[in-house]
Amino acid sequence: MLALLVATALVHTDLSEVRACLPQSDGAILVGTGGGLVRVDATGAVTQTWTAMDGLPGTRIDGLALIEGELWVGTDAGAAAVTLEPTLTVTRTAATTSVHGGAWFEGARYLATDEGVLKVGTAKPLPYAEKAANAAKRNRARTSSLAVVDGVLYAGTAHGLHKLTKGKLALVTIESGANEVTGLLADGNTLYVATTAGLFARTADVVQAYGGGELRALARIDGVITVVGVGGTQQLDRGRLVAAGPKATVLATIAEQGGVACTGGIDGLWLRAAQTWTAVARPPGPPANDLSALAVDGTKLYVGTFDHGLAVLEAGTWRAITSPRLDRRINAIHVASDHRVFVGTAAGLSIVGTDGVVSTLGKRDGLPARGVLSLAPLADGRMLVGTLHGAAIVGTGRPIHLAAKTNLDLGNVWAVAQDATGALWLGTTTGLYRGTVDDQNWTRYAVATGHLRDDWVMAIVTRGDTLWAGTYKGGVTRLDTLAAPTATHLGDGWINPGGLAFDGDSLVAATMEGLRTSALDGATWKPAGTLPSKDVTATARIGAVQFVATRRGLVARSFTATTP
Amino acid sequence: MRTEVLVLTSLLTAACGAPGPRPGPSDQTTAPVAPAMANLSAATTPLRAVTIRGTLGVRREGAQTLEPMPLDASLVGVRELKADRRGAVIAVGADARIYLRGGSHVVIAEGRDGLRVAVKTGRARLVSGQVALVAVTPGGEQTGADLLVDLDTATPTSARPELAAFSLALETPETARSVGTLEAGERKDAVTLKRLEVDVTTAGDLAVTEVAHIFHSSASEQREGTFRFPVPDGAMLIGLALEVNGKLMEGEIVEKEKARQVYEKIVDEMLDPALLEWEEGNWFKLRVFPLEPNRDKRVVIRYLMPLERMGTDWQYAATIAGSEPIAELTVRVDGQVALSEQQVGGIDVAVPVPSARVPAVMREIRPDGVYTAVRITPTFEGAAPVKAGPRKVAIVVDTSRSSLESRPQELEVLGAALGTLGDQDTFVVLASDVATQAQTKSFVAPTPEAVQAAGEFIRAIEPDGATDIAAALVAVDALDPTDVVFIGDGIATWGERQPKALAEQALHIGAPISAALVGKGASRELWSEIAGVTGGRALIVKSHQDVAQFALGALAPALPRITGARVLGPDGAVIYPATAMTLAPGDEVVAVMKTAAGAPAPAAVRLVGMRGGKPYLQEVALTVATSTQRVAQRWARQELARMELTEAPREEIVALSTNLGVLSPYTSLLVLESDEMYKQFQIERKQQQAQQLAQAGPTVTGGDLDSLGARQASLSPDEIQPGDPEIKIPAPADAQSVVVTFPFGETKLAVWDDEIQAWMVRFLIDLSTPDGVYTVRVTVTQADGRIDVLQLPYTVDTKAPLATVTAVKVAGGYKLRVKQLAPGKRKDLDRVEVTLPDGTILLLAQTEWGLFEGVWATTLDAPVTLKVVVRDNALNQAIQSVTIEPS
Repeated sequence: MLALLVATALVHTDLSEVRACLPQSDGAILVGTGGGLVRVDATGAVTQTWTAMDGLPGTRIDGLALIEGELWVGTDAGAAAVTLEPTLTVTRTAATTSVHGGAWFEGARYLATDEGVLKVGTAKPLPYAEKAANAAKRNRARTSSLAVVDGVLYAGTAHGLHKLTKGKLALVTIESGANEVTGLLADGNTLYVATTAGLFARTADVVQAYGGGELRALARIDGVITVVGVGGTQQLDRGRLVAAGPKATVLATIAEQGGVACTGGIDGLWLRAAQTWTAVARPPGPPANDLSALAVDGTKLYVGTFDHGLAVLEAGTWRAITSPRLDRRINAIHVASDHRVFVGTAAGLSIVGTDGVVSTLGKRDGLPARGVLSLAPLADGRMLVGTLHGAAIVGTGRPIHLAAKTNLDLGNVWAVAQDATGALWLGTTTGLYRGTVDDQNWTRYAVATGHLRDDWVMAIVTRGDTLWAGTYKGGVTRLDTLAAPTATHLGDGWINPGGLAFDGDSLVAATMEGLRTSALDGATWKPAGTLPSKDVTATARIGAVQFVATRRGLVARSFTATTP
Repeated sequence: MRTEVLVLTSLLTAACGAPGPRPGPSDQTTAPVAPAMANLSAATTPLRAVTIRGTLGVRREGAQTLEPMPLDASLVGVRELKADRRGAVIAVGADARIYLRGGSHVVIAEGRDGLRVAVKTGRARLVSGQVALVAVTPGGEQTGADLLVDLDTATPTSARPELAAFSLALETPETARSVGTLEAGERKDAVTLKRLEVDVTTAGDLAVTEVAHIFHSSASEQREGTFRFPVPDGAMLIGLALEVNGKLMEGEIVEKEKARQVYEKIVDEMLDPALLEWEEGNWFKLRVFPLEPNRDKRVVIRYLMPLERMGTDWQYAATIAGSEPIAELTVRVDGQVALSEQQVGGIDVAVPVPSARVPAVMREIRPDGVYTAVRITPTFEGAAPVKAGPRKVAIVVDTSRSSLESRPQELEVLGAALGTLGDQDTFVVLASDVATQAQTKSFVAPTPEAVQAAGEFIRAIEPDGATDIAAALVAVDALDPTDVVFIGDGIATWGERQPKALAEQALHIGAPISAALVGKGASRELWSEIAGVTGGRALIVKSHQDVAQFALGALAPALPRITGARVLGPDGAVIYPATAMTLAPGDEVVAVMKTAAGAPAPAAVRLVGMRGGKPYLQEVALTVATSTQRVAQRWARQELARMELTEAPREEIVALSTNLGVLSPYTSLLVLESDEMYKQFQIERKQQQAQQLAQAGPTVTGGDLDSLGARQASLSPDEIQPGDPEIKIPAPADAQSVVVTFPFGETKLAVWDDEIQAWMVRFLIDLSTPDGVYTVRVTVTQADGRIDVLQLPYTVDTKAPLATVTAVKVAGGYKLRVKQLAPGKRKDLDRVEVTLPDGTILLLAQTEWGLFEGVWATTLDAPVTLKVVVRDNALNQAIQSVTIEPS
């Protein structure tokens, strides 16, 4: 018996969203991005990238903190102290979902985490002096930053500034409305506090407000207090904040060491050397990490993103497909035999012609609703389209609404398919519906009829006289003898939209908890190895390479056969 | 919740442990406490309930549960007290009192130096007597003669007397609160209040409360009714709607004379208009015609009132009590059902409002101007302690002609003020009209005889002449008092009358001056300034409760204060409060200003004053403002007061009142029976338009964000399992950016959608997200650089719905009823299906909130069990069953 092992795995992530950065003593800069941890040289060129595939707890980097020589990386799936040379090694982990900052205080390392202030080596965050309602509890646990001033540890949280007093964190009033602290900076006996309501300086209980709008982070750059946030960069100049440095929509981080400074946000990365800020060119890669759909056309892989449009990957090169008529919120892709690309988006059904011209059908053109959720080709060449409010068949004429004759309210149609007999199947939030092309005799299969474990059907695939339905939280159900189906529940759960596919004689399920495979006649799901994210949205194959789309990027895997 | 209980228990255990040095008072606000009763024990602590408005539950030593406690019963050995629905007063020993607001729950324990009280929920007032009452909070213990205590804090009542209103109300006879009555001619029993629906929508730190009364007339013929409604203290009436021919007609604010002419003309034609008029006190009345026989009539009153601070959090707090039990009461706050009950006698409602929904800076931009409200919390950190000592109190009583009718109330205030003096204090009473005469040559001790003599002195003076306040201030200055109290209507009619000059004169006295302003013409305008610059407080006194509140705060123990506090805005801004203020710890100033339309939005305001003899300056940036409705109305209310005082032209007052929808002395609320009639009488439908705008759901409008208000933005669906909801923000197309920040650390840019004419963004809720309510922040950078911030809540719900399933035999079959569990919670159940034995599915219909019903037409010979599939708004499902026995 042979087993397949992943031989190579090439990760494609978008490195353009900067969430944290940290200049190194050698002049390089570590950049935490939405698509992994990146090292860039002084010019901004990427020299190395690490993702969850390399051993990081997660791929999206939420924070970087160098605490007394120990580098902590906070990710969307946990935090770890790491060394990067010669290869990435996790030296220890912390009991938290993420880390945003840290401090060295009284001989110990403290982390700013989503669960509160955590002393490294302990299991529970520091307690609070005050009681709080649930919402406030959750907010004050979201700690953005730590700083030590006058021998006191301060913690900036989403529910105000706190200081460590007698082993407990006590709320410190800054100013009414300055509830969400996004960054702290100790400067002598002054604590600078960046909040979503501006910058404050606190010296011996005297608070000075500087305004500055919605701030995200602060640092001392070239000796000057510099803040970043919505709108870009500002510097504290003679008691006032004035615009200086990169102007951007949102900057999320700023740091400086040894004369090298970095800042960045959803607009990318800026580096500062010799007192000049320079924007770094966007690294190649997919338009975003949050991928929603895949489709193959020969050697081309079409990749749809959750809200950053459509791109095509061919021979290792990414190319964006843009048009005013192609919405960026992509739900489904299908490549027709004539190579036209059908794209289901939140704003209609777009068709990319072989000449690159895009046409779009919306509600005005006869679709039941503007948002298109699912696509499946019919045997006669037309397209079965599931929308936010019913389904339709799209051919050469005006779309034909399904279930209209029976006045059936289908609601969201998340999945569509045609079986070998020509019957149409629609997956909705009230179960599966089976009908015919001539829109007669729709039959419902649901929890109430005993056929499903969950009525919210996200994906359908058929082969022969068998149908597999993937549901939101009730796993996969196989229906046999489709004219009068019998149901077998195959388990697993949390199937993503369009998340079922065949891969040879295996059924592949893209779930929110990972990629699973199963033999077509079996009920045993096997996990499919390490991926950039647990949340898998789609799979596709080009030759020997399997592409797996996740919420944190794309991975191209090839396999080797071995004897277990 | 379990954790909180444990913490409280540990606090109390610590408090009851071995004797040791007791933590001292946190500041100089603690007043001397009478000697403590020694060796209190569980068996001897003499507790007794003297007032119970709702029910009082107690848990005794060793008991596991709370048991109901009747009035006047001895509460020996009690460990916990819980006032349900309404408040209660518990006497401790002869003279100490614990006042519990409705819904409050306290834990008590005896100690060597008094009775320790920790609040688990709600708010309590502790008045020490022979037994000292010690407040236990997470910050430590605090002892005081009179303390307001909640979960987090204990504050001297004298510092925040307005928060003690609940306790003062418990000492006065019960009256209707927030509930109107409708009388049909002679027969009062012909009309009953069938249902009361209270819909609260928060707008910044305000609550827009809409009280819908559904009356039922059981009379056999058509009648005319009179509706009366008590607007709560501190509330601002802003709207009225009346059901006419089955349609709810919105009232309009109309110039008073015109309203009356229209009303009378229509009445002559035997049609049915309605005119809301002030009756007395806080009561308004409305004539309602016709009341059709055996039909319902809906009357809607709308008013603004401030949200209440509770520690660092906020809540909507109101008392709802009718003269008769309310058959059905529903309270919704921001669309969520907070309360749904039947046969309610009265109830104190307290609903937490997330702090995220209460921004510090609120802005409303209208074509006529930019209205900005900002909450400013002054800081007292580092303020020098204030020394307390015996007081020399000068009390000035207005005995001029204008005091003729208010003399009894003046005497009541005088008695209450003298009643607050301690043994070491002294006082002198002065009568003031055109001249000022002192009752005694020097300060005297507050003995019963001296107090009585002071009252008789005032009683003996015939009200006459004008009021020369300047002369009174000169006389007071000569006495060199430590505190001054003024009692009168507050209007200077002789001598110096300019507020600024009088304030300067008052400042020279060097003592805080407080004023109780009584009588029909009472005005706070002058005395707000005088009290503000000197460190006192001014209060218009209309009721016994007001008298008590004034007495609590007027002669407060020495507190750190900021005196002469003012909020200064940019040049050209019309800013309120315009008079000086006295600020104490815990106070918050809400400044509201109008700046010119089209001008740059104000960037900052400054709070200035004197603290501890030194200048105080606090600058507050206004850069990040949240689009909020009703800011213009709260500004207009104060602007109208100023215009009335300065005798501004009547037409200008009417114009402001009608334009911004705030009643004034020259306008009335008029309801006509149809849109055509409004047209006929040339009454513009401003209120109706404003109301439609405020109530508009998440519709596609494409309008300007400022004029639409934050509530137009939507997050859909807003009750979800992990997935990918969308947010629609109707910001202008030319906005520079619309940045959406999610609570889990993600930031996204919304994109303009030309077809929807709004900015759109969708986001992912991770599978690991715990259930709960979350808030998304939307930051709109407008084309001119102005920044507006919106908050949008959403609920993550992964729990299957809970419901009870019953079957009842009816003619021809069985009625199946599925009722959502957890009454009073938000509506959750969304769809119910029943699988019948033959495989067919019966879809039940929703017949009322949370209730689904359907009839299965069948006869049964044997028991049968049916599968019931229930689904909630977030598409969570559960399978239940019901077994039906043949009947």
